[in-house]
Amino acid sequence: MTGANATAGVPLRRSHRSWSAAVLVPLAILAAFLCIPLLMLVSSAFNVGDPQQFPVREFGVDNFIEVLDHLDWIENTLIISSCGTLLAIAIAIVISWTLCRTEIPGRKLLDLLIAIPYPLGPLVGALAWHQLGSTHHGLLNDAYRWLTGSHSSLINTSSLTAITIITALFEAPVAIIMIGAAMQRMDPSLEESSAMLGGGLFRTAVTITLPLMLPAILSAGLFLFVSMGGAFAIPAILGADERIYVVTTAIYQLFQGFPPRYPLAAAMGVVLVTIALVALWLHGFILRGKTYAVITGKNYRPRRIKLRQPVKGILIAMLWLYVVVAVILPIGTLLLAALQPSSDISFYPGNWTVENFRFVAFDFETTRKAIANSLILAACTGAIGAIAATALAWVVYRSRSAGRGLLEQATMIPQAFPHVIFAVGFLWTILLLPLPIYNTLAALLLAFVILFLPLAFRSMSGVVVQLSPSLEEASRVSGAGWLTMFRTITVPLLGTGVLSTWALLFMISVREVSASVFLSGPDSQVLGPAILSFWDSGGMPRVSALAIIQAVIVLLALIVVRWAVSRSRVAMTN
Amino acid sequence: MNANANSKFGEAFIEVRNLTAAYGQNIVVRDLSLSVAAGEHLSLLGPSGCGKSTLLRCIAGLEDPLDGEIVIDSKPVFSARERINVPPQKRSLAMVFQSYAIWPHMSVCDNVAYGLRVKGVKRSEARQAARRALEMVGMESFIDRPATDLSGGQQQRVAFARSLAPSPKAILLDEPLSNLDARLRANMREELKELQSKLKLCTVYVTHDQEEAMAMSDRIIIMRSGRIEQEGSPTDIYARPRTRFVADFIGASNIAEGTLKAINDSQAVVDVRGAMLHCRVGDTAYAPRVGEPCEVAVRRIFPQLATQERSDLVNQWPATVTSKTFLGDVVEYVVEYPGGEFHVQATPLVALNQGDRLFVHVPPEHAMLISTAAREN
Amino acid sequence: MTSTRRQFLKGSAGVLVAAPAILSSVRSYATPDVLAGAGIDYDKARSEGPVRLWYSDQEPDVVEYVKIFTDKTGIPVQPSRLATGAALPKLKAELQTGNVSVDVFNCTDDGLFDQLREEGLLLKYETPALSNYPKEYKSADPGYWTTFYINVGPMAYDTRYVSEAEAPKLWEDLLDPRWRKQIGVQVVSAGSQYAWWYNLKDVVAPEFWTGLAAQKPRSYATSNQMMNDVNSGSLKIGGKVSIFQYTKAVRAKTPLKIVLPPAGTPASNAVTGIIAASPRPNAAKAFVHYLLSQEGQQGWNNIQGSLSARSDVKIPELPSLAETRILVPKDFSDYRSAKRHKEFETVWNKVVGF
Repeated sequence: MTGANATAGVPLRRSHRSWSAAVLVPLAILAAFLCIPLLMLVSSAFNVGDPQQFPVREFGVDNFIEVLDHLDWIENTLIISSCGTLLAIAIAIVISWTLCRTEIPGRKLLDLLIAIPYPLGPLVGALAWHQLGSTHHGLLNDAYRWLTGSHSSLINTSSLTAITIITALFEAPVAIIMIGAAMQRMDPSLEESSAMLGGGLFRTAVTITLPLMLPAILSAGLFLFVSMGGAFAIPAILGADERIYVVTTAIYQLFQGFPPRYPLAAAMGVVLVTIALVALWLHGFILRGKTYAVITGKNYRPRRIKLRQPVKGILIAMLWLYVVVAVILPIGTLLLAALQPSSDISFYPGNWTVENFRFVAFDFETTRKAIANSLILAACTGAIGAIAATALAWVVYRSRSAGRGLLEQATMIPQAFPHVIFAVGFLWTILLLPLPIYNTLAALLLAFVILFLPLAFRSMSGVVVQLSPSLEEASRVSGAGWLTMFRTITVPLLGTGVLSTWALLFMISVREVSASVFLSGPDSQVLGPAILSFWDSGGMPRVSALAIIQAVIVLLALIVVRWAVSRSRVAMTN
Repeated sequence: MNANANSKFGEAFIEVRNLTAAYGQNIVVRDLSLSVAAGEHLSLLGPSGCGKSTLLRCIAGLEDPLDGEIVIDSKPVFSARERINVPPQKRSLAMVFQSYAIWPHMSVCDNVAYGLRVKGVKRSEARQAARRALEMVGMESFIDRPATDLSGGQQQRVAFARSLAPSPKAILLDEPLSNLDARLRANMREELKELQSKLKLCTVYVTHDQEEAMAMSDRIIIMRSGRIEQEGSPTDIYARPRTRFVADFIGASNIAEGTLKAINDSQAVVDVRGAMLHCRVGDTAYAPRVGEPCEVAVRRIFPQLATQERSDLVNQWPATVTSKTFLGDVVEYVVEYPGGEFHVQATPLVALNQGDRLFVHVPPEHAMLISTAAREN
Repeated sequence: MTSTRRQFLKGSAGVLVAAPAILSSVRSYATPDVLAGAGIDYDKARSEGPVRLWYSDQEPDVVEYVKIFTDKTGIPVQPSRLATGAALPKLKAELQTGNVSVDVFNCTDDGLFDQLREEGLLLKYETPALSNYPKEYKSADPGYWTTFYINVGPMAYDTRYVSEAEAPKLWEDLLDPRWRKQIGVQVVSAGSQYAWWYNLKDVVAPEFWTGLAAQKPRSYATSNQMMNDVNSGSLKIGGKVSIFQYTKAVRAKTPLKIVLPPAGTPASNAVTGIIAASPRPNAAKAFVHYLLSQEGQQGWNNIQGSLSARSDVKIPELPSLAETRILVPKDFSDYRSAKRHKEFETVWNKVVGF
């Protein structure tokens, strides 16, 4: 039958339509981890019996009727989401266009600085801006009063407007990166032909560049919309004074009640998820068929426009204004507050002390543990997430199994879950299942890996796609078996990409607060909830010190990301 | 249709039998058979999408065919019937990729020595072999440089050296020169040809450039839509294209369409809109029958232009120059004659102008009868 | 192997395994003075490991107090801060999974605690100190829970921003329009806030609460946070502060004044009790014993600045228990009832605009 020399290798006639296990297994796992929490959430939302009864026995729509009593929560959320998104997109368009397409001095520095606000996190931003802009005690208002002698305040960070603006400021970098990436992939001759035909700078930018960027802009916009709908830290800290509640902070409050009002919280969660899913569907519909991941296309060298004054000056000023407002002022303020011995701010360095840092980092057990836990959790999330994302990207882009597209979609679904909502459903899931991971870091780890999977996948797919298959084929033809090929070719080439994904996940994990505030327990304290709880207890100096420590950790990871990305770019240019 | 090894070279080293393969959802190789002898250089020539790359990758083991057999060095490496499929790393073939696939994270030496190191050859020996291979392509001074230092042409040479270092018995090349600019390509072609004659490796070379194929091959297979359109030596194919496709692909041709008026074993007469074109018959097996529509191919370099009519010639007609294009080494005229148009390439010494009246003569031995009947395979 | 040899091997293996335990238990600790009469096995208390304490008080205070306890008794403590509203579902969840991580629960919601007692979730521990506590400051069946400080909730203001003349003197003064948006209260989940409402509702008119809601008070998670704003001037009146905030302010020489209206000031009991399912009963008892002793009460209340239920404890900055009119719950089953809690939630959500 078989020849004497026959060597069975890969299976024959691999039908290109079959579903391989490499697709089915991840799909099943993802489905389970997404559907079960959602199911728990939905079932609790319809619970009209005992609020704490799991599984739910009595169903009804009363909770949704009660939601109608609190439309102001939904209204606030939608205002922040929509206006914030518009603002953030506007900022992002201006900044990414200026950075990618024009020649301005200090571009590299600006590039680095503008990447900072997002990993720094909304918590840091909220604390800082509360310190800067609260009506009575805010530094900016004090300065204003001192300068002008007036009794009123310049800004009030406790208003819905301020919350929207600050949220937009700290979410904008994501859009900047997404839109910037699209700009870099655009064929410059499209703009050049406009110039040849007489189109001026502004006309070209508005009639050619902008419409071409529309898919990326829409993509970024919808991502931001969902993300801001789930904003928690900024409304929690800034909204308290004026009693402004959004869905996420309301859910948090409902959880604190006695007894906790799970069904109403779940109903609010369902409303939010529905809005997010509609947005996600809309996104997919508008982009029809295009994938989320930033892939393929040649990387052009975009021509850089030389601007003239006053446009150049205005744009540079706007960029630096953003950096000041989103990076320099917040970090500076918190640093200043952290160095104070008391809640009063003194600008005289002689009064400053590092006692607060010592206290939160070493003396105080809760925060010490929180810092350590956060580091461990972040490192593990990064490792597991990067490996999972690599495997998934491999299956989606390299295998020929059917269902790859579905797997990619499934990987991106966690984007639609505001973190608070997912955490709530996840919490109930792990309480109900016989897994003893409640109150451990493992619960947080699992939730984080799922929540950040879209981000990790996006990061790794760029790397995987750029890795030309011929590099591996050359190895195999040269006689290397699968394992050798993997070891000598695939892993080294993917290495820097995996590292940058790891560091990205590390940053995001450290700054996460909305999910961890629900899932962390007394034995699994992490930075986000620790900062919030510290904030609750009062004492700006110590809270600021803790926030600064978080900021430093994140910034170090950011440096690693940028170093790894620049290295991988060198390796890939062939 | 079989394209068997040229007997001059001896036994077939690579044999492909009745191979069918797909790329994505499309069948791109249909029931194709060929063989290549040890030491023979075979080129697979054809337009993009004709299946030549897929065929090559099937031989390499990088693609799985749907049906058929592949035998290398008398050992079956693929058989649909017997469910054999040897993975590429065990087929002992060498391959040069279109993108060169030089590993950016290794040095030149590591790249070239890879195939030997994988087989367990000691580092020092492998380095020696790598050095020898690099000498063959003139890149030995780059041996310790990082691969990212190389330009396109240099990468191409290193890719070649890498495939030669393990002293393979056969080498597969997938459009290796197509990413180079014209001048570099011409130089590389020369060098490759030299290397070829020195090493006498069994070679399968995929290209879409007919000049390359003709310059380097012992035998050419022209592929179209997954099948073999024609095979033969370069001169054979050039002089005796069997179909319009081949005639168009190789060299620059005029194609005259007409009706067959008479035919015997070696000659035919075709009525081209009233003009009687005497031509040669290439392969009687494919010849049409009298009264059927057919085509005649005349290479552009062959029609002769004269101011005077000569009395003893067939295929001579009065003509008018309708356009003239100066191409540097060659001037191309379009002349109108009673049967239609001829494109004629002449040296710049023939100084004619648009509107000139003259006589055009096509020597019958340079006019090829082409069949328009559907090909059997 | 013959049976004798097997027995011998088993026996010697058993001795080897037991040796460390035997050796360690041979080394016995002397019970420290402060735990004399506690009725516990001190050695067991030490080996049971750290006492896991849940509390909702100010972290620095608890940490300081716990250190004293550990210094005096050699028993370590692992404190975790939890808002009362978060603690209960956690406890319930842990009981469900059978993995209880709390031994001693210090809770500012005495009604909740009594509920736990009724559900049989508390351990009865009768420390001799109980005789020093009047009956309204311990469980009806003594030993389940005892008040370890009285959380009195007066109004407060900073004289730098509010003059004594204009400051409120009565509860009804809070409804003055000048205090609109300038009153601070605690969130609905704060145990002491419930007690405050419960005890105050009997001395004010029913319209008081709607009036208070119209003042749009700001809600705070902790009184500490509220006090920060009072001291910085961004909040004029702390509608309900904890009396220990006052003590701390006095010690820090902050110009803070509290208002104890003649109608009475609501107070709640902050109670301590041991969870029955605790795997560390001896250590837990040691903790409670010390906390309720005169020394422990003096220590704790001095650190925090609150009123003790024991009459033999005096905090210099505060008036004594006898001198102040305090409103505490009388009918515990009513105080505890879900009906009242729901009523509170409805009223309070309106007050804080939730």
